Amino acid sequence: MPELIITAANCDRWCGPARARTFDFGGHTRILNANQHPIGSRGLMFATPIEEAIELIPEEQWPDLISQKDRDKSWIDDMAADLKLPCKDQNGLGYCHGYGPVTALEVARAVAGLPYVDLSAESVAGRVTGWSNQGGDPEEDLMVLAKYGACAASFMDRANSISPSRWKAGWEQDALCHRAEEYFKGLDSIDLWVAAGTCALRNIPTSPWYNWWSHCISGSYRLRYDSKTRTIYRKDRNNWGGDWGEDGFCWFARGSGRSGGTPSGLVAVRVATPSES
Amino acid sequence: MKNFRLLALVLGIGLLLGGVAVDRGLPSLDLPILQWFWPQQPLDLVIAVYESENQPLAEVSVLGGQTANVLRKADKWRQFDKDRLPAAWKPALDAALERTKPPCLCFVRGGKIVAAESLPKSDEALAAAIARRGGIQCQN
Repeated sequence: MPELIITAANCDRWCGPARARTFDFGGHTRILNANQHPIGSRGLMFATPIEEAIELIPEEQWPDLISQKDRDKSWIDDMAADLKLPCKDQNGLGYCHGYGPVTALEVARAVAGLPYVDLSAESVAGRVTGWSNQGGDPEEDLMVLAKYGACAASFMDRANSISPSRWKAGWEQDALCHRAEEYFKGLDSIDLWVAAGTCALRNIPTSPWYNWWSHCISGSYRLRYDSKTRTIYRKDRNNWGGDWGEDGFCWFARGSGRSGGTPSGLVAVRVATPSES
Repeated sequence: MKNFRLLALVLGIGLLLGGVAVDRGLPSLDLPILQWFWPQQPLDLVIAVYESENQPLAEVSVLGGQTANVLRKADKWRQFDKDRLPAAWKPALDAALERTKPPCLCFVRGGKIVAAESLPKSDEALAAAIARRGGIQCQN
């Protein structure tokens, strides 16, 4: 599959019709309800606002920095390709709010050079929803990820299981080895297009969500500048398996409307627990 | 006879110091003449220790560049925030960080940190620094 740029013209095909609650893709019903609970309404205060933690890089500086990172091949995207990080698949679960942040944690582990561990997003999102298959606020998932962590998927009785009573004993202890140690949140009081782009330039994995899509994914893998149209694109990755987009990846341009790449909110994981397994 | 004993003593001390130097990977072994006599064994692992706050973009590029990625792929690269060191490496890294402030590279051979130096400023300099310490075998 050639690279996929999400636009108004192809948005229905790849992201589902506007205002849809579900969308069939890849033979599975995809539930779109990341923000069933109003995102940010409770203002979880445990995560540092991203603009306080890192210096945001003005967009006019991005084209030169993009060229430099292209020359250095130092994007997270280059790392993910070298390491062949697999695309996660929530496979009918409404747990995108967990899949996005947990993927960001997996990428943070890759940045640290730690061995790849397929982490269970269910072990995080399940704690948020009380183990029912429904949406949630990704910031709550970040809180669980920071406090309790995500266990290895190998502890689950089957892929996408949300019945922890059937999981192997010890999953909670294993989860403590995979926590977010340094993390930020970005809410729409700032320009989140700039925040997500800055994270891409700084190799900080993120999990953005989009209210127009009612969906949360992982992001900030790479930026690209089209000098002809003077447009900057950001590369994100969906959690709907490798058959979606280009091995799960897609590109977004700035915009807050339908198909726009300015997140409605995001969480970022800069440092993961440095555990070897 | 007296001269022979003196010569033996000098040679003995030299060998002892050389052995310690090889074992600890002292910077003096960077001298080509010493490397000719005592070639260094390849490294097992390279650990970069950095400070996440106010990290310059150039440093991010070195840590995320091609050389580091080759090592990542071969499971021979670790990159830790100075305030979140893993328990297994913490005592050794703390000792190294007393001598070399982060951002820095710590070179591991035989399960021990044998040398540390400031983080190089470019990908080429990073590759050269690793080569100077004996290189590293990446077979993956």
